[in-house]
Amino acid sequence: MSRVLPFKKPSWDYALWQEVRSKALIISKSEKNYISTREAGGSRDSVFWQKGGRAKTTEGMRKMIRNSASGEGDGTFVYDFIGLSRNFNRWFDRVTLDSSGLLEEIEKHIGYTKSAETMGDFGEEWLSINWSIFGRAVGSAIANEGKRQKFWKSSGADARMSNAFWMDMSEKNRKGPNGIEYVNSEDWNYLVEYFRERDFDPGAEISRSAGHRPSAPIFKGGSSGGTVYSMNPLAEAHRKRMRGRFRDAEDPEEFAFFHGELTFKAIRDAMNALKNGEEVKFALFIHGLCAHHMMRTSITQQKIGMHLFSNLAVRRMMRGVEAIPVPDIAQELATGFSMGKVLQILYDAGLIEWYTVEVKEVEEAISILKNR
Amino acid sequence: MPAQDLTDFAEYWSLSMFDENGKLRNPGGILEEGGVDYAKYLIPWCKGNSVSVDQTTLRHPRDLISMLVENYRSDIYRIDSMSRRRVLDHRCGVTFDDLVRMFGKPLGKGRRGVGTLSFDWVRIERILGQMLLFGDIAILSHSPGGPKDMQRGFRNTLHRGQSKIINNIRTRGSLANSWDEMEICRALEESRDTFGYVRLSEKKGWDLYIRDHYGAPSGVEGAVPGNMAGMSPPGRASTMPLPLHLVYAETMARAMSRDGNVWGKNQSLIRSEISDAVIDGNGVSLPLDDFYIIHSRNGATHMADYTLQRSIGDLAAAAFRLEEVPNSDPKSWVVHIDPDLIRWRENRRDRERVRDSP
Repeated sequence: MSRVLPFKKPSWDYALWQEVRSKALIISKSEKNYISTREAGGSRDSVFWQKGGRAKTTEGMRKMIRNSASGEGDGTFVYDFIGLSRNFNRWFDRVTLDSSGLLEEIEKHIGYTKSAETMGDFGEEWLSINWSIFGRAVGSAIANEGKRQKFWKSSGADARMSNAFWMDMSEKNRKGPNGIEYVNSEDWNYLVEYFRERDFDPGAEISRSAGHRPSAPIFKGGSSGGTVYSMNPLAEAHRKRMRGRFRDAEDPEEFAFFHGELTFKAIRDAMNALKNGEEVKFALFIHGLCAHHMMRTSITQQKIGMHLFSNLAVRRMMRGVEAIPVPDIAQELATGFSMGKVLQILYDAGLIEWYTVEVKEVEEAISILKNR
Repeated sequence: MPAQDLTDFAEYWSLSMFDENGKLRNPGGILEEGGVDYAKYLIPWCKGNSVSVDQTTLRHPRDLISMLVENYRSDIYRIDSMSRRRVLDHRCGVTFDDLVRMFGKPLGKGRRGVGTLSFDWVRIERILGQMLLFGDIAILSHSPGGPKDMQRGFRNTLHRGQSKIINNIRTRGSLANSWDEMEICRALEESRDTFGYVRLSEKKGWDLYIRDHYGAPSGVEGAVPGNMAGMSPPGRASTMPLPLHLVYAETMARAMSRDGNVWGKNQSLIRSEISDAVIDGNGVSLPLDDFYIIHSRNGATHMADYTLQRSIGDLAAAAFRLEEVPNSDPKSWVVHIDPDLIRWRENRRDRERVRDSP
């Protein structure tokens, strides 16, 4: 059953937003705070995301919670719409309008670094952001940040495991030719075995991620001493930046506790670079963040990160969809996490736009689309 | 459905790895030089069977096959790095102690579940049993040979009970369910002192796949294709870039799930329906709304956008491309489907026809 868009026309998301965007309002602070603090239960059952919309005022929302009903009562009712932050537009525009110039800039930048030999031939892969891994990294950060804000108990065991892996790998690194650090085959086998026994298989993650080299955590190569494994230099740089922000703390437990906050800071740095017209820096920061996100298979990350954040990105990137009705997303995701709390974290991190549109305007727009 | 995919895999593997005279092909992937054509069957099979599920549910089978592949790879590397010719030894396989280290002890101890058999071990036995039936693995041990062998230490020999184990599984008509039926694990336990181990079968072509997946590709100056110890630039694509062994492991895991529910079943159905819609339509694409609706009808609306771009960052996943329909109002799109996914479906339909024919 559809809530806002007709079941048979899900791709009207683009056209619907074009019809209602001029009537959309940015969500108010009081609405956002009320929703994130008062909403309970999973996304599908919340009274705020049902067909018929939610009350615009906090008083109206209070009544909805009390009566466990949606779309009824006095006052204005609205549908919430969310979309990828407009700050990403600069990246999409540059890739669309000047991909060869951007690629040239990235390759020139890499050419000046000691990573030139390792990353010199990535070609157009530089221009694709790995949104599903970016989404998972965001999902992991949301889980972590939500725990820090005492929204829920799930933390980010994956972040702890990733961090432990990178620390162990760093310890086994040896200096190779051209200053590139490697882990030899024997040490690598030990690492794989050690982590596999702890429910994490670095070998499998690497095999799968080889398709997009800028965001791949590890590069495998040959040397006169046999097969060797090196950290993606972008992951290494990201790791250094994270540690710098955490004042060089070594304890993975502590580090993992702040993983969410640190990840959002890293994303903010990348977004600031983009805002300043430094698309190359943005790309390298985001690729580094993705490459650093070693443990990629947690279900929590998938539900609240990959399937929420990355879907917004994919729709924006592939079809120019700027905002999607939240009730439809809430129904599709069916996550046990409170959608309102997740949206608040994403909104405060500057990763999404959040609007409201009156229900009657949305319904009118849909009937216009039906009559075309 | 995964059971059928496993049977298909065995068929495609044989068709790909061996030439028309039944001889194993060469590493490097150059057809004119007797290399493997992965694009015909095995890559499409990978694209059709690579599902996205919480990987922890697939952990044990994947860990087991990863361990078999990784250990084999390490031992080939050891051999390729040495100037004198050496043979593979128990380090290329998995011993009983390796299994205990990875999956715990087979029988429960302590206050809870004393003497009860761990389901993980039943699953391991089933996977090994299936692989043994397909000829993917062999059970070996080191035993004293003649005087020459005694000087060198021990000799690799095929476990004398292997044929009997295969016959027992065939006679029983099912894989293991109890400790008594867990003949492979018991054989490994009983031959602990002589390094009893299971390893991937060289004859079946696993050595060839591992060389094509991990070794030097063709065209690298100074490197023999498939050699593991040669110089090869980091990040360079290999002859068979897709992690076929992982998809194989995951398909096996799906076929042997604990509660009988097949993991990733909806995704398989979605792929089949999408491919069928394309094959029965224009052969290359379908409307985006149909793409979404197929996902919705199979309870996976949230997966649709992810599927569209999953191939970025997952080599084994099918690639999709969106194209806007010119002058459409409201704006609409079509989705171009990965030809390998279509080929997977066509290959499968061909196999179904062969199976169904009298």
